[in-house]
Parts: sequence; structure tokens; C-alpha cells
Amino acid sequence: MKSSKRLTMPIRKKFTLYFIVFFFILISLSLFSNFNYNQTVHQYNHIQERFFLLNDVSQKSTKTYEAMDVFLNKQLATDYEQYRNSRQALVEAKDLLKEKFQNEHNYTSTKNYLSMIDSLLEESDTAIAAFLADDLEVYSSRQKEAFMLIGFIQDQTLSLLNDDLSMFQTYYDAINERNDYMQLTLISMTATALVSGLFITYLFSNSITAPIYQLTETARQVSAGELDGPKLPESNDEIGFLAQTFNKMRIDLANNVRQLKEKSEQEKLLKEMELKSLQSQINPHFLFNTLNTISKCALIDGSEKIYKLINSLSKMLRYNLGSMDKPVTLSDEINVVQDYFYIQKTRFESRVRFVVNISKECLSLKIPVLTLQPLVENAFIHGIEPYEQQGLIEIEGYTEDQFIVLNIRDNGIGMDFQTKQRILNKSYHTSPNITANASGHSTGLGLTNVLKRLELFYHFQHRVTIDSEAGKGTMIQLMLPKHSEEEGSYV
Amino acid sequence: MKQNYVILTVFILGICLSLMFTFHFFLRTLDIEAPTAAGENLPEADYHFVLIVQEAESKYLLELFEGAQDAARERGATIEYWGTKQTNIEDHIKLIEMAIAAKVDGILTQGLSNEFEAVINKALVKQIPVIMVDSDLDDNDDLPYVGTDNYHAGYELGSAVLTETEGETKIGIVTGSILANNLNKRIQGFLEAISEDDRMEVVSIESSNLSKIQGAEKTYQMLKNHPDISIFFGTSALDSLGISEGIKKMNAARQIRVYAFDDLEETVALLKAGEIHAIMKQEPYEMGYTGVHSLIALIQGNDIMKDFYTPAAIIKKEDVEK
Repeated sequence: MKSSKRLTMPIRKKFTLYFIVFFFILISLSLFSNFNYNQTVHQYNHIQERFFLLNDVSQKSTKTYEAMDVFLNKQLATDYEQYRNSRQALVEAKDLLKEKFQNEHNYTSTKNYLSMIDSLLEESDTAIAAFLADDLEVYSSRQKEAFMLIGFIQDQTLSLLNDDLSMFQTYYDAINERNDYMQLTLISMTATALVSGLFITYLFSNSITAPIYQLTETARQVSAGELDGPKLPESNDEIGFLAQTFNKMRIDLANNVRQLKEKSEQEKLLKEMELKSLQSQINPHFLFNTLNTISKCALIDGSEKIYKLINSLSKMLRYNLGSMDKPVTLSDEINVVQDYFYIQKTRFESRVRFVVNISKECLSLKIPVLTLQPLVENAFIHGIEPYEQQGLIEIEGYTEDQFIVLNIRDNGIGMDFQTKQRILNKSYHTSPNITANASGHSTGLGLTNVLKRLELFYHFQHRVTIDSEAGKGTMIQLMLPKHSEEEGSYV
Repeated sequence: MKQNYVILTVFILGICLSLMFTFHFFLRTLDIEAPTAAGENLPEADYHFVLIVQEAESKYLLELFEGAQDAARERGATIEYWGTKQTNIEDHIKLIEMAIAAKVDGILTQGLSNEFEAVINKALVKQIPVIMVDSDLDDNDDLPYVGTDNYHAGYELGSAVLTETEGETKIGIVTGSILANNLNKRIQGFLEAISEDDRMEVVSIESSNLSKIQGAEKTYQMLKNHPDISIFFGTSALDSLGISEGIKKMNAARQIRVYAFDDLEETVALLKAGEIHAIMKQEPYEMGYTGVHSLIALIQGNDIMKDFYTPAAIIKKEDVEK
């Protein structure tokens, strides 16, 4: 799967990343709403601050007037001080108002308001100056004037407040509208967080469960016996390790099964051989007894040749029909070959010569039963029988390094390349067809059968070489490992 | 796998959609016009004037303010429009006092009554120039005046009546206010004109108190007392409306001619309908416009004319139908 390849990080890292993303979204949500709240509060405060400013100036004007009035009535130095203080406070409040209140929309009316306060300050100052100069007429008229101004200031305060209120009515509505939009933004943000959270969860769980699902599926296949499915993708995470191990297990399992199959094939071959031998056991005791009787009769009649011939045949048959599942020594094989040869010698008389030349240490070599005799028989049937001249069959045995080399050589008609290849290929790649090569003269086992059995017995290939040329004879060479007795066994 | 892609598409669509909504609403939250902070964009004007009128919602006076505003805009000045709801001399004086306290650079006001003299003097002492618009003070010898020559306008109307009537003629006059100088001057001029011929007789002069309903009432009473009135003269804008309503109520069979002041929409409609005979049309826009220019000239120390008469002319049915 694509996504599992892209997200090849350990599950632990995935978890961490997932939670970081999730917390980030949550934190940004709460930060945003907090920011909104603060801003709204700030805006409301801003509106209120303006009202307070206005109220402050209005109150201080009244206070200044009152302080002046008190001083003019009581004429105390402390009251004068009081007046100075109030006046100073009013000037400061007025400056603050000019700085913080006056804007584009209320410029003119605020300017009027400030001028009225200036007028008040002037009138009250003049009144006090006139009072100190004992100019009674002026000071009372100024005081009157100041009183009128206080009235104006209060009216103007109200009208400014009204203007501000109506100005901020629209602003207030706008703030409320904005808050509604904020709410919608928050809801949308929450929706975004929810959907992306679900999405991440989906991707995340997919990246974990998809490989597990694949693993389960493959395990089901394996349990159903399908060992050669496609390899599982091996990602970097923990599941990837499982997949890797699983892949290895499957390959090993396939190997084991293959070995098991090979072994069962060996057994099958052996069974076939046994069957074959059983087929030839046509009442063997009767046959042996009869042959013995004939040989004894021949001896009594003085025909030693017939006695020997029949004896050889009898021995050979007994050997052939004997135990099949045990390897025999090379010397046993040589003996059987000698008997076989004696029989053939009788048949061909001096037309054929048989030479055995085997070194002593080779004789104890364990080899499968009926290895040598079929080869010699093969040499007779295919090499010497059609050959009209003096035939020679030679068995040679010697040691070479770890191997014992057996050469079966004849000087017969030989075989062409195709035949040679066919024999070798048959022995290696097809199960031996035992009856295929049997002709009327053979004792039954063909060349390919021998070669196949050797291959299974020694677990080797290509240790058999056939050296032959048409008209120049044939040499079959077997290279058998010296210590075959340890490993070699049919069963 | 196919289902996989469907789910992925749905998720991605969902995320995109909700992101779009978030963005959209977020933009809307940004799109709020905060009132300009204090001290920003303050309009810097050379002069700050106030126009103080007797009836702030009157169309006639609003037109006057429009002229003043246009002139102020041309000259880089600001002008405020202050006014009482109904004619109230005391409140009017208070407004002038407030303008003085607010230290404006100049005052335009209607010279409604001679009670204004004290407060206008106070303004002059504080070196705030004052110009009368629309109506002048009585016996005003030194304050500049911009507006219709009310005496002359009244005289014109009187002459028109004189030429358009034959034989004994009884006349009823409805005036907005007996105290208003400008209206009184119109009456003076009118009386002066008709006094040239003794077949003219003014049987009654009544005040409508600048109210249409009272005007109608007074007309009705007048017609009841003097059923032979054939000419009515309304001195202020609303009087003519009251008069024509009063005549309608009386259901007089005779032809009664109404001579009116000011071309309000309703008045013009009545003129078209033939219920009003003639209108003395004033130019309030001119007054405001010239008033502001004169104020600036005064501040800059230039001499101006004591009286600046804006044009006024009689219009009749034929004129409005053109």
C-alpha cells in the first residue's frame, strides 16, 4: 500500500506526532477564543473609558465653579487653594479629553466643548481677579457668566454623550456582529479540527492496521499451504519487523517442504524397485530348488560345465532377489558380476574377454545393491552383442583423493552423442522408467535406474561420466566418495 | 482501494470546506470598522462658524444652510447648523451665548428680535463677527444683513395686488409671527404699496405662530367674520398652506386670490392647482452662500456692504408650468 510506504516511521513516533498535531489544533483554538474575548472586552472598555472621561471633565468643571463660589463667599485662603487645585485638575482632564476623546466625528462639538471650558476658566479667573481687586461689579457679573457656562457645559456634556452613544450604537452593533462571526469562526475551526483529527486518526489507524491485515491474510495463505505468495512489504516500523520475520519463516518453510519432497521421492523409487524385484520372484524357492536339482543332476551325469553354469545362475538369481534395502560391499558386487560373466562366457565362448582390476582397499566400499552388474550387462547387450569381433569388458577400480573411481569399459560399438546425453539427462531429470530399457537379454534393471539410484544414494550429480564414441567402445566412470558408509543409506 | 479513495476524498473535501468557512468568517471578523481613534483624521479648518436659525427642520432654512455649507467648503471652513425646534427667542439667545462660549470664529443668525442686541454686542466685544441672514433686526444701523429686501418684496406683492384687482377689495393678512421683524417689514411694504389706492382695505391681520393648522384656523375665522375678503396675503412659508386649507374649509364660491411667500413644494403644487395665485420666491441658498463669504471677508478685515440683498421674484402658474 502506498500510504504505508510513505509513513514508514515507528508507531511510537506516529503517536507522538499525532498528539502534537492534535494539541496544536486545540491550543490554537483556545488561543483564538481567548484573543477574541480580550479584544471584545478591550473594545467595551474603550467605549466606557470615553464616557468616564466626559463625565470626569463635567464633574471637574462643576467642582471648579463651586470652589470659586465658596472662595468668593467665604474668602478663605484654603478655599483659594481648593480652587487652584480644582482648576488644575480640570485643565488636566480637559487635555486628556482632547487627547483621548476628540476624533473625526465629534471634532467640532468637542472643540466647542473645550472652548466652553476655556471660557469657564477665563470667566472664573477674571471673577477671582476682580474680587481680589475689590471690583464688585465685575466679579458678580463674571460669576453669573460662569454659572451660565456651567449650564452650557452640562448641556454640551449630555449632547456629546448622546452623540457618542449614537456613534457607538453602530459600533456596538458591529462588535456584536463581529462576535457572532467569531462564534462562527470558532465553530468552523472546531469542525476543521474535528475533521482533520478524524482524518489523521483514519490515516494513522490505516497505517497500522493495513500491514496487520496483510500479515493476517498472508498467514491465512500460508496456513492453506500457499508458500510462494508475494513478499510482504517490509516497512521501518514494528509491524515491518514482523513482516520481515514472517517472510523469512515462509522461505525456510518452503525449503523444508522441498527437502521433504525429495526424500519422499527417494522412497518412492525404492518402492518401485522392490515391486520390480517382487515381480521377478516368481516362486523363487521352486526355481532355486529346480535349479539345484538340475545342477546336481548335471554333476552326477558328469557334466561339470552345466553344473557350474547352473550354479552361477542360481547364485546370481539369489543375489538379485535378496535383500534390496541394504548396501552391499563392492566385493559382493564383483562376485555377482563374475557369476554373470561366467554365464555369458559360456554363451560367447572366447569371443569375449573379461578383466577385473580392482585395488584391495576398494573392495570394502559400500555401494547400493545391483550397481555394477546392470552396467556390465549393459556393456554386453549394447556394446558386445552386436560387435562381431573379439570383445573386452574391463572393470577397473582405484582410489583418487576422497573418491574411489570405478571404470566399466568395453570395446564395443559405442554410442553417439545424442544417446549419451539422453541417458545422462534421464538419470538426472526424470524419474527412471525401469522397464523402458529392458530388452529380452537384460536381467531387468536399466542403466538409468542405476544412475538415478546412485544419485539419490550419494546425493550427488554429475559424478557419472560416459566416455564413448561410435565404433570405439564405451567407458562409464563412477566417482564414489570413499566414506560413503557413513552417509549412504536408502532409508 | 476504491472505497479508500472515496473516504480520502470525503475527508479532504471536508477539511477544505471547513477551512474555507473558517477563513471566510475570520475575514468577516476582521472586516469591522472601528470608530476612528481619538486624535486621528481631525479636520483642520481655518474658520469655524455657526448658523443659528429659528426652526431647524424647515426646508427653507436647510436650503440656506446648504448654501452656507457650500461656501464654507470652498473656503476651507466648517459651519455648524444650530437651531431651536420652533421659534423661541430665549433659546435662540442662549444658542448665541453658547456660540460665544464655544469661541467660534463667526456667527450667522436670523435677526428675529431686537432682544438679540445685547448678546450680539457681547459677541462683538469678544471679536466674533455676526451677520444677519434672512431677516434683519429692527433699525439695524451697523450689523451687516444678507437676505431678501423684505420691505421691497412686500411692496412688490402689494403692487401686484393693486394692478390685478379692480374696485373695492378686502384683504386678509396671515403672518407667521407678529414679533418677527422680517415678516413685519413684508407687511409694511405690502401696506405701503396698497395705500396708494383707497379702494384697498386690509380687514384683518392675524398671526399663525408659524403653524399651518393655526393659519388655517385664523383664515377660517377671518372669512367667517369678513365673508367679502377676496385677497389673502401669507407672509411666511407655511401661512399660504394654512390659508388655502382654511379657504377650502369655508367652501367659498367666490374666487379668492392667495399671495404667498416662499416656494415650498406644497406651495408650488397649490400654485399649479390654481389655489394660490402668486408666490414671492426668495433665494435662501444665495443668503447662506453670501453670508459665509461675507463673514470671511469681515474676519480678514475687508469692508463689506451693510445690506446685501439677495434676489426675490414673483412667480405664477405660468412660470412653474414651463
